Amino acid sequence: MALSLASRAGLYALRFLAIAFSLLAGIGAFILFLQFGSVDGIDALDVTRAVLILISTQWLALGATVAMIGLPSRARPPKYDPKAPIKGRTVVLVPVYNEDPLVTFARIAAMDASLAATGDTAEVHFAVLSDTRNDLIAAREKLIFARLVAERNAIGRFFYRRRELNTGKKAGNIEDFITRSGGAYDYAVILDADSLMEGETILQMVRRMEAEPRLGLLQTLPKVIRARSRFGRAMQFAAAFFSPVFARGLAMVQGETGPFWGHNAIVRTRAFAESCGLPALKGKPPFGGHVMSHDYVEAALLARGGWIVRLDDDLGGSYEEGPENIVDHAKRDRRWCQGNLQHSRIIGAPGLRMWSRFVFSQGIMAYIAPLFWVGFILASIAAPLMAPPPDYFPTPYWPIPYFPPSEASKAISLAIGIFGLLFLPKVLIALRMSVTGAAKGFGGPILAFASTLSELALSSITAPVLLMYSTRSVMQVVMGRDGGWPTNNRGDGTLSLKDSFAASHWIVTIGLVGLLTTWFFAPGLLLWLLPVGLPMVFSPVILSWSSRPSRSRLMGVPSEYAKPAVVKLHDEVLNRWALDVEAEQEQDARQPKKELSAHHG
Amino acid sequence: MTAHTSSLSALASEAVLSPDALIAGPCALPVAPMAMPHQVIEQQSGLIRRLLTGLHLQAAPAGTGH
Repeated sequence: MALSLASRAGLYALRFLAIAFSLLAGIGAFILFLQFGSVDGIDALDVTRAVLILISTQWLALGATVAMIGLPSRARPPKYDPKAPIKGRTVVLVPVYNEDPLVTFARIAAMDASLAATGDTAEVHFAVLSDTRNDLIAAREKLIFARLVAERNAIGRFFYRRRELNTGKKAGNIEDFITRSGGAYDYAVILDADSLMEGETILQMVRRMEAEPRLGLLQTLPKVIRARSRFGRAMQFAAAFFSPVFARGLAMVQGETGPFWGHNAIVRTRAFAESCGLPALKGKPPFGGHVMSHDYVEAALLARGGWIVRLDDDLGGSYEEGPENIVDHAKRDRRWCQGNLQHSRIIGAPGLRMWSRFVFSQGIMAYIAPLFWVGFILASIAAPLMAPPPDYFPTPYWPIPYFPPSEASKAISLAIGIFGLLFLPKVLIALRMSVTGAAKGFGGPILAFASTLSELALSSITAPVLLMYSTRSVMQVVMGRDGGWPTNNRGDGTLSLKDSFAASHWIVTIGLVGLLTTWFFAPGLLLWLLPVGLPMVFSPVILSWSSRPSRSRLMGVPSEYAKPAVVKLHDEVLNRWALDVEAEQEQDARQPKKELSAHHG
Repeated sequence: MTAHTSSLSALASEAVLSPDALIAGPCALPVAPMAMPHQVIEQQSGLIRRLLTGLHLQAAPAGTGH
């Protein structure tokens, strides 16, 4: 169903509101900063800093506005029959790339069991699309796949293929499937190797596709599960506690030009095939070559083709796993950074919706915004060197000195405003969760509020370190270095102090040099810069500490208090398979001894 | 379940296939090709070139004629 005129007007009004508010906040920060800098006269450096703070504040304000839009709203399902018989055929695509097949294929077994438990007769197949380069892992994939098929009695429902060449990476992997087998399916659920979905969720996604023939892609909001480390659990808490509100706001602002995050989504195969064939971009990586962050591009291309792309944030039962430490997070972010900056080549593609172009620009901005903060800090350290010496006797022959009025209150107001944009949405979300009773799932209102404050504290401490990694990523991309396609580390993730130092010694150096320079040249600024400089100096400790297992009651999430059914199924399968493998290995180890003793006997 | 699936299940119950035979046989992806034409995702020429071309085209009528 197309958007009615009234709802279209509402959508445009909402978008206008979001952009206008963020611009207003940026302009407010600009003026406040100029007033602060006007004490000793405004010079070029003051204007530069004011412009940098305008851009950075505008970016922060947009995020805060989206949250504010989502705050009073509640996710609701679209109009459709949730019990309608399913007519179409669906395939669940599981692209793998050097992952542990035992864990990944156990997820498939769990999802299939979850589908079977619904009692629905809808045809849902699974296809493992292997891009694994490691032959040992590939051999293991085959063995475990055979076990999976036997256990689920899944011949004719489960498929496996491994590509000789992983051309086009994940997008190329999916494209290869569509061009070879896409005609056999009406819908394709696209997952990541660490995705897990309830069978009922998959069926409801299919029903929603069947209820709206113009729907090309439906994205769910995956919740992070199984986090163990302090950093991982903070991310998991943020994804469960804050993200639904941000996603609600996003869904409202984006309307039918919604997002695709590359996994835990369903596509209409025909729509995807006719709209999403991605050629390699002209030139070499990092800006040319295969499209790295293909998901955003595919969403934009579907919208260009007249298909609806929708985020149904009311759908539960959609899960993924996240990085357990800052280094793994930074590695993933490096890939996303290159992908998003590569969108600067696609933003001008003919026929794209204006909103899609805006989304691309925001993605690019997400990665270059840290540069503006770094630029602001550097310009602030340099400013006292450029400033003229204070003139306490501006009137000739007047014996009483003149002390210019302090404009520190303006700087403090500005700092409060910026921190407000960062913290206020999260505090308001905590309040809303307490009022609506949703905080119960997070250990109750008091624990949820304490978790919110802890998350804010941890994200404030880690922010300067992440800012440095982001800045390095952008610099590497701009200088033409390709980040490649590193395997996601989905293991334990604990970092020793030595490993942490090896990953962050350059941040320590920059932090120390920055603080010492400030102390010598702009001592008045030192106190302001300590919250940024100290986490940089202590980044190895932060990296190592945050990667260690968390045993706190803080940051508890519903999936920890009550394990979702499909996660329980996954645990059962994985434990059983792991025991079987252990038993087989023991048997193999004993075998030569027996043979040896038989030989000696 | 389709007839195709049922017959394959029967096949599996009758004979245990090796992993390689399974992947090359009943668990190979179904053959049902679908065209996925490559889309135009970037401008053929860069922004500066397009601006210059635009300016050139605007300026051209003044220079043409008799």
